[in-house]
Amino acid sequence: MRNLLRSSALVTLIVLTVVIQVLVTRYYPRFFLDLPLLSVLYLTIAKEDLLWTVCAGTAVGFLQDSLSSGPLGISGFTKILIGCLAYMTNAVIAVDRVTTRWGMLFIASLLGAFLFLGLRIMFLNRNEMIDGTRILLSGLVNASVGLPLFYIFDKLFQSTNE
Amino acid sequence: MKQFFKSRREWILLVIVLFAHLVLLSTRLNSSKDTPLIRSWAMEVIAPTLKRFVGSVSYLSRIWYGYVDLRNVREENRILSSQAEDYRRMIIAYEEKIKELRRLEVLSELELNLTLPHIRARVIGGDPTQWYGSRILDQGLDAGITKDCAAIIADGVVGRIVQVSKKSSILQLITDFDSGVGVLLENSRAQGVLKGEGRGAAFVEYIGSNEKVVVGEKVLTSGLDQIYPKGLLVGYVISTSPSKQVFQKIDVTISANVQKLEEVLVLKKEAQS
Repeated sequence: MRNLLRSSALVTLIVLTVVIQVLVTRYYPRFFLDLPLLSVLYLTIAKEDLLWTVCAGTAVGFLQDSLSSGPLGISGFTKILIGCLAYMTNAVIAVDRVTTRWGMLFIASLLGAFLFLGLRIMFLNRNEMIDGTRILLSGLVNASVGLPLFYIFDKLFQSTNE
Repeated sequence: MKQFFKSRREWILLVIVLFAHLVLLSTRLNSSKDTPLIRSWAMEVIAPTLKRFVGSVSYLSRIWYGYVDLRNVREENRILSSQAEDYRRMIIAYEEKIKELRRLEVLSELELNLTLPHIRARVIGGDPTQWYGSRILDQGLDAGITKDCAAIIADGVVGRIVQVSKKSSILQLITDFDSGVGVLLENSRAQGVLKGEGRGAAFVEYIGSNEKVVVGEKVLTSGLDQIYPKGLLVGYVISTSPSKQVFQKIDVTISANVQKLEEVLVLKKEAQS
């Protein structure tokens, strides 16, 4: 019962992050934070189960692509791959410390952006410019906001578990 | 005799003093120009004392009333602060309403002048990824919106519908990397394709290098893409980069502020065709 409750809470979290992202970008189109990516990374670390990472990445990616003008699958692919990399990193070095967590979030954000844009260029034959400053800024924001957010999620889901 | 004076000493003193007063009074009645020395002394002695006393009383009275007032003022301040907060909130709400009414007024004017059938839609969401320029609209198939319907506001073209469900649709902005709009330049009538560059900017390609393009020239829809009706304002030329190649690149500023969209008019597809 507890597991079911916790799992439901995590699924709600996934949906909520996408909804919040859509609402915030409606008012602030230049919102650098990628909440859905952070939710997938959190699930990867919290559950330590690759199946969860794949499911969460698929769900988040599907939701994001459905609500954007891009083709279906591109966000899902990115999220799953980044989630898997985070999973492997977590297996090798436990990302419990603040600095390692920050580093993991920063690198995951950069890799996610490059992967996404790379896929667009390769598969959709787009000649878009890669805005390095924006990607870097996005990485910094994601890593810096992700840390307190993970802490809140930890507290939230620990209490759900109790 | 001696005994008589001794026993009535006080009375005698009283009479003497009263008499002295009468004498004093009678001597000073006619010469009241100067203040008598005795009165002056009395005043000098008494006045400061009185002054201090009255000052103290006033001071204490002020403290007391200040305290009493303070108690009332604190309560009054709390009520006024609460009222001020309410009024501030009301003003913000009214300002928002006024802004919305102005926007709707502009949109209504456009609707009145627009001969094409259209649907008014509200922007309810932004782009969930950071990499597309798209918006979610609150109208979909039920309202008559289909894929490739053009969306405009009073300032010009903003984009086209790329995904549609029963109750909502997704608008691709003309500044999106994937966007392409058939355009022509107002003066030279040269035709090209407007491509998005993200971040509210766009450029026109496929216009020959021999075409003379003037900065500030209007960029209008050509209608050749079968999506946007001909003659709608898209933006203005901000710079050209002539080259020795076949085509030149023309940078365009979009006339509509696509980053701050709130309501749009979606032109029905069957009407355009």
